[in-house]
Amino acid sequence: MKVTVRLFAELRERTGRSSVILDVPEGASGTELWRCLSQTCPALTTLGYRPLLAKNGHYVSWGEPFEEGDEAAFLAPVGGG
Amino acid sequence: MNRRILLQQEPIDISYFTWLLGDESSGAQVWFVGTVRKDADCEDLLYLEYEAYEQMALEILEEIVLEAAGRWQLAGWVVVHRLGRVPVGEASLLLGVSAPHRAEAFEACRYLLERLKAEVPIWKKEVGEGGGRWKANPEAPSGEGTAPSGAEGAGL
Repeated sequence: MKVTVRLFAELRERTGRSSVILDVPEGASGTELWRCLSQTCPALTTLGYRPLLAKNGHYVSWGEPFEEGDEAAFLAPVGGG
Repeated sequence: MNRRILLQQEPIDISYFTWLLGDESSGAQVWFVGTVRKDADCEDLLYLEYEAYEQMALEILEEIVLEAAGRWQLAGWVVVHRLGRVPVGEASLLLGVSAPHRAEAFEACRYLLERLKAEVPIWKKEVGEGGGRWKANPEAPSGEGTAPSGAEGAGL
């Protein structure tokens, strides 16, 4: 299945991409998405912290399963204000 | 309408929003203005560059505001966060709440601010003469849960 992963801020800059479409097995977890994303974008392996994960605009744990058409986002610790 | 949650590129017109929040049932308005400053970490700071996951940021802000509104009986609120380049000295954030009494208004404003800084997906990059670097808020968590095997090389 295909899952779109959106990237912002530091992750966007490191990868040079604001979104990546991953082809992963049905029900893949956030952990599996990250593994696949890190292979596609090796610059993420030296990030130095574990990003937060969002599914369709809501924070979820890395164990969360994803389905076809879901939007994932790996997010750096926030800095608003 | 005295209820607004906005992300905008334009400078924040504080007087306009102050006018917007007025209503006849509130005895108190509390405002917070966050401004861009130079600090010891970045003395040559020129500006901050803000970026947001806009749809998610707006949804979380709405959830937080509605929770606060129920808890402190807020009559109105204004949350405006600026995105893009914000020069030193200018406002990056405007928060305002109105409530029947001051105690509720103060508490609600502080609550909104702390939740925003910890949870809302907005990021800032400090840009000085020597380049830029992303800076997280001290209160903002990173990802939790068991260490993802794919992140082993990330020094986690």
